[in-house]
Amino acid sequence: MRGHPAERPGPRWLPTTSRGRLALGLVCAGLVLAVALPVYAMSRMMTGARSASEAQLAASAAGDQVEVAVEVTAVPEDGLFVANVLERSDQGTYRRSSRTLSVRWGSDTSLVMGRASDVRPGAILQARGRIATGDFLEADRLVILTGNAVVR
Amino acid sequence: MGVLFTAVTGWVLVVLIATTIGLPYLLRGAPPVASGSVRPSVLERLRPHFWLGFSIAPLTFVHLWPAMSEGWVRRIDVLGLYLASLAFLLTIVQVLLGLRLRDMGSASRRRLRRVHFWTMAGIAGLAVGHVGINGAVLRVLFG
Repeated sequence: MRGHPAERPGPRWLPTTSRGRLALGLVCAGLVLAVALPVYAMSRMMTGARSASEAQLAASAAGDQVEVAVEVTAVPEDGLFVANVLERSDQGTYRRSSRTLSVRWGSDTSLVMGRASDVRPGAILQARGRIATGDFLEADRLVILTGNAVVR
Repeated sequence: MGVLFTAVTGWVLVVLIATTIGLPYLLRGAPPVASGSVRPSVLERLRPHFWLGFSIAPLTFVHLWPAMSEGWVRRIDVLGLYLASLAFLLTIVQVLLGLRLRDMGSASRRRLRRVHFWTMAGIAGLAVGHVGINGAVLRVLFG
C-alpha cells in the first residue's frame, strides 16, 4: 500500500527552488513595468498632463523651463516655427488658445516619435524648453503628437 | 493607440528577450525539483527557454504591425528600423538554430551553440540600438 507523498508538487511550470521563484518574480515584475511605464508615459504625453496652460505660460519669465502643447501654424524658416498654444481640456483632449508662440529648434533638439520633416503646419507637438525674450521658446525637446492627440 | 500598443509590446519583448537569454544560464545548473527525485534532462530543463524563444518572432510581428498598417512607420528614424528588421530576421535564424540544437547527439552541436550564442548577442545589440534610436518612452520620461 502506497502512502500519500509528503510534498504535493505544484504545476510543472512553476519553479520549486527559491532561485527559480526569484527569477519568475523578477520576470513578472519586469512584465508589469513593461506595460505600466509606456502606459504612464504615453498617456501623460498625449493628454497633455505636463503641458503648461496659457495662464502659466503668460506668468513665466525669460529663462523659465516650460513644457507646452502646440499646433504649428507656419514654418517661416528652418529651425523656427510659429504655433498656436494648445490647452488641455477635461476629456484628455486639447483645445486651441488665443496665444501664439515662436519656437526655435535645431540639431541639438531631441525629436521624439517623429522626424524633422514632421514639423510642418498642422503638426501637433509637445515642446519643452526655455522661454526667451518675447514670445520665443528655445526648444530642447519636441515630441511629435500628430495623429495621436485630439484637438477639439 | 497604435503608438501605445507598439511601446507596450516593445518593452514586453525587451523583458522576454532578456528572460530567454538568462534562462539557459539559470537552468543549466538547476537542482532536481525535489530532493530524491531524478534530475530532469537538459531538454526538459530548457523547455521554458524554447517556448519563450518561439514566442519572440510572432510577438515581434505583433509589435511592428500597428506602425506598418497605420503608416506612421514613415515618421520613424530609418536607421533604427533597419536595426529592428535585422534583429527580426536574426530571431527567425535563432529559432531554426534552436531547433537544430535540440538534437543532443548532433556532431556540430558545439559549433551550433557558438553560432546560437553570437546570434543572441547580435539580436540583443540590435534591439538595444533600436530602442535607443526609436524608443520614445525613456526619452519622454527621462529625456
